[in-house]
Amino acid sequence: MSAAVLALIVALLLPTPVEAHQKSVSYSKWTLVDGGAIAEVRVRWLELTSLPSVAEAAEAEGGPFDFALVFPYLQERLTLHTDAGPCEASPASAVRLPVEQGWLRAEWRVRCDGSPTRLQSRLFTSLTNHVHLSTVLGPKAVDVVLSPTAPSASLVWSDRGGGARGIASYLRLGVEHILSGWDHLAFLLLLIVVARRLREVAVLVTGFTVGHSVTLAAAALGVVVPHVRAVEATIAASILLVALENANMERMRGGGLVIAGALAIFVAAAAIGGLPAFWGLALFSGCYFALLRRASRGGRLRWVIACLFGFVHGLGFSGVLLEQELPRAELVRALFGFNLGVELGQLAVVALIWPLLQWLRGRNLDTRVVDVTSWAGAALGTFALVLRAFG
Amino acid sequence: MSRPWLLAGGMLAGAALAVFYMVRVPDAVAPTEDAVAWVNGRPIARESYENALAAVANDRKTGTLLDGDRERVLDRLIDQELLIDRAIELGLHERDPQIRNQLATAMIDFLVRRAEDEARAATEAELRAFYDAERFRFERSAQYRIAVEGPAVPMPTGFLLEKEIEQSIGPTAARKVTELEVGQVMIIGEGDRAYQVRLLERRNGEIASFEEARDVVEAAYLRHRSESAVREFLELARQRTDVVSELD
Repeated sequence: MSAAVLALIVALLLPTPVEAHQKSVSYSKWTLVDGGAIAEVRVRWLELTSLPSVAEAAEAEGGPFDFALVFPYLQERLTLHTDAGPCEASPASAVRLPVEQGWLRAEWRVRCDGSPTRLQSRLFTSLTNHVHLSTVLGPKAVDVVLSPTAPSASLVWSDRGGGARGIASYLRLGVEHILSGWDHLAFLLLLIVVARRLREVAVLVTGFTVGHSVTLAAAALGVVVPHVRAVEATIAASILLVALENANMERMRGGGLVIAGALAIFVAAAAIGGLPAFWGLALFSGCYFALLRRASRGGRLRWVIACLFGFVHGLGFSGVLLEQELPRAELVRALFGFNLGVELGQLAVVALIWPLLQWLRGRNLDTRVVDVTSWAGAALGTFALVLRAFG
Repeated sequence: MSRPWLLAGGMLAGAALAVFYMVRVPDAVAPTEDAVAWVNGRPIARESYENALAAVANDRKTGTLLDGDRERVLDRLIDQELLIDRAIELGLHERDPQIRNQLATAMIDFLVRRAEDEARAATEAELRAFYDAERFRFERSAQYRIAVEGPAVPMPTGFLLEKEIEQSIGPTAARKVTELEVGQVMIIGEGDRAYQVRLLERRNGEIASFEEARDVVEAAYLRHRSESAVREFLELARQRTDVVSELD
């Protein structure tokens, strides 16, 4: 029990961004024209205001935060290059474009000596998880994904190798997305932590993969439109539910009360939090735990949970692709690369965790591991759910 | 049915309910078949194209189109769409006062035109209901026949409206005349310039019958509907929009 309490405290103290699994992202679109290009850039004000150089300049000016202070930063940090060197940005051409609240959208021209061959982003280098998604519209559209670990990308206009390069950048984005998404990883960990054989892990991971691949594709291709807040809150709820199941709550003395408490949060999320999807989730969870009580082996229903909540996690994954507003032809390629990246990242995590779990099992620590992860998962899931539903 | 199956059914129903509220199918965009071109997925209507062609043909002395006119007109319409796209992207509709005024006027015109189209298709029953509800609008004004004695005052003969009497003897005197009893006399002015006015006959104001006033009713109904359309739109928009005034 002491381990459980410790896990609970650690979980609550973790400085995790539970608001949503949202990466730090900025976007740009470069349209190549005679003698240069037109850059259109979208960044969040929140990230701009966190830059010391910009904040200092604003303080020195003594006035409110000014676009003119930000513009040199963007022009200097986001650059298009030819073989002869970087293209020259024209400050006078800068225009601030209308955009939704919380964002800055700007446009400027750059002059290039020759055809652009490379794009570089050194935006927000202090944010290790920052990703810059860019589309360069030249002889053909080229998508690149830049990050602090890969700040530069070549622009390949020929068909040969270009498609593969575009897929590769989305593949990397998919890997980064799953590895930096604590909620997806927590769900995955809780799914496999009670598995005894590799075959069970394979079934669970396949169920999760099938589920999220279907909805990722459906949402990214515009077949369905997800309700973002409901999806994010349900992802948190999925962690809580699997954690309670791992802790054998339906059979444990007093466990009924804990399950009832979880269901009460779901009902509150529906009634007070304005998330009617949680009426359905409450009904589903109530019946699921009642069924678990009757099942001789609870694990037999686990693949259902893996697959069903996989659907919801897939809707969450789609947010990154949807924000990019890619043309449909690019979208299919991006979807393929991104999904592949998510799968590879997921397999890497399983490949890392499974031997560790086996090692712990060999030392008879498996029950304790399940206890600790269940309580931590339940605490984190509840915390994230409350924030996402009522925050 | 056994309990496990009921529980499984409950799970299924719960999942279905959650999915129903978690995702929606995007609104289908009605395909516009009558387009001559598409710009960024937006159609250029054939009607706009035909109107532009007709305008070009009217400008020609021969009244007919020349070779290449069709292509040029389509190019101009596409250019116009591209310019509008860019203007919206730059937010000119949010910043330029002239464009904002034109947009507001165009919106009012649109609402009025749509309301008038609907009003023109009004049934007899609707017109009668409007006539019954707004009878006061169709009241004929009272008329007076008067005789002027004294210095020559130009006064038309026959029954006159108060406004017609006003033109001869002024508004104050005209109002007093309308208050006279039939046969009663009043003196206007002083000394040599004084004259007397006698009210010979009065026809009181009355409401015209629906049949008599039909044209007036139709015009009034049209005006009423178009005014209401703008007012209703603005009231609804205010309800749906978060408007905060910083003035006291």
